[in-house]
Amino acid sequence: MPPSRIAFVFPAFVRDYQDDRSLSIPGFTQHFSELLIRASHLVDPELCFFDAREQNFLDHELRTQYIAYIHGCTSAFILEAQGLHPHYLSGYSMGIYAALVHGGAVTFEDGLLLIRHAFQEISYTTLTGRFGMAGIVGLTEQDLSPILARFPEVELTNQNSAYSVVLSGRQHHLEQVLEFAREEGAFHTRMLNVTVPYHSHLLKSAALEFARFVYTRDIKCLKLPVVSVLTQQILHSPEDIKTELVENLYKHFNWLKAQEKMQKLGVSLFIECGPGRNLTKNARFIPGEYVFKIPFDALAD
Amino acid sequence: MALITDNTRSEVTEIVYDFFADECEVDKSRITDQTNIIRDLDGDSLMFLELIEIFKKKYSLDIELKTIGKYAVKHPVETIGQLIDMQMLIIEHENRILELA
Repeated sequence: MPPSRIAFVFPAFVRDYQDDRSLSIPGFTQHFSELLIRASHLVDPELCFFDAREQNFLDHELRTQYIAYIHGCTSAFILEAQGLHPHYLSGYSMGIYAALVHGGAVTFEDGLLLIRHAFQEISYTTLTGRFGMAGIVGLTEQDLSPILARFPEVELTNQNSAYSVVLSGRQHHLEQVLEFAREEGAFHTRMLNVTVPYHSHLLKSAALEFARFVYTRDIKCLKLPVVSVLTQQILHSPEDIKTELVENLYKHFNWLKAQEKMQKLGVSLFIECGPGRNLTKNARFIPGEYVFKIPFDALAD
Repeated sequence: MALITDNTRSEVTEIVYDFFADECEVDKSRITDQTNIIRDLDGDSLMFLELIEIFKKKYSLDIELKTIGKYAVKHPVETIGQLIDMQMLIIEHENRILELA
C-alpha cells in the first residue's frame, strides 16, 4: 500500500560520505555535478573539485554546509523526477535552505548566498572566543538539568529524541558538561565538528545583521509546505520565511517535535535528502507508524 | 525482575547477532563473540541504545538508561561477547547492576 503522506527532510552538515549510496542513483551524479559547477562559479571555486570518495572538505565548516545543501537539492530533484512527490518539507537546522529551494521559495543561487552570508555573520562571533556544539546520547533533558544549571551559558539547543540532545556554548564549558554527563551515565558524548554555537543566544547580534541581507532577497510563497523546526508551524508566506531564516540562527529548535508534527499531519514516509543517514538513525527513537529512508532505498522500493 | 532460564543466554545471543547483522548489513556468519562492535562492524552508540530498548521491552526490565551508562563507564564494552555478558547482567540485576561494580 502506498504511504499516505511523504516528507522530504534535509540535514544540515556532513560527517562523512561512507553511507552515501546516492551516487548509484541514475542521474544523480550528473545533476549534482551541474549544481556543483553553478555553486563554484557563485560562491567558492574550490567546490568544483569536490569528490565524495576522497571525503573532501570534511574539516571545512562552510564547504560541508554547501555540499549538504547541494546534495539535498539534488536528492529532492531526483526523487521528484522519479515520481516521489513530497507533501511536506523540513530542514534540520541549516538544512532549511535546501527545503526552501525545493519548496520554490528561493532559487538555488539565492540559497547559496543565504548560506554564505549567514556563515560570514556568525563567523564574527567566533572571533571573540572558542565556541562549539556537543551531542549527548543516553540522558534525558531531566537528567541533564542539574548539570546545565551549573553552566548557565551552555544552552540545550536541540532535542533529537528523548535520549539525544545537542548543546551550544563556549568550548571549555561544553567539555566540562560532557565530562559531568559521562559521570551521570551518558552512553556517548562528543564535541561536534563545528566552531559556531548555532541556535544559541550568542548568535543573536549576528542574526540581526543577517536579517539586513535576508530582507533584500526576493523570497516567494512556498509551493510546498515547510514545517518549522523552531515552532513546528507550517511556513507559507515570504514574511514567515524571512523570520524563520533569521531566528533559525539564534533560537533553539526541536527536531523531535518537528518530526512528531509531521507524523500528526499524516506523514508515513520520511526521506532523508542528504549524504548521510543521521536523521534516519535518529528516527529509531521516535515512536510511530512510519518509515524513514535514504533516497537510494526509497527509489529501490 | 526477569526470570533467567537456561535458554536466556542463547536467546540474548540470537537477538544480538541478528540485530548487528541487520543494522550493519553484514552476514551473520561473519559475527563472532570476538567481533569488535565499533572497529569491525562500524557500530555506534545509538545501536547500543536501541538494543537496550529491545531487551527492556522483551524482558520487561526495570532499569534506567543512565544506570547502564554508569555501569558501562566502569566496564566498557568493545566486543559482541562483552555486550552479551553485560546484557545478561542487566537482565539479571536490573537497576541493582551498579551494586556489582
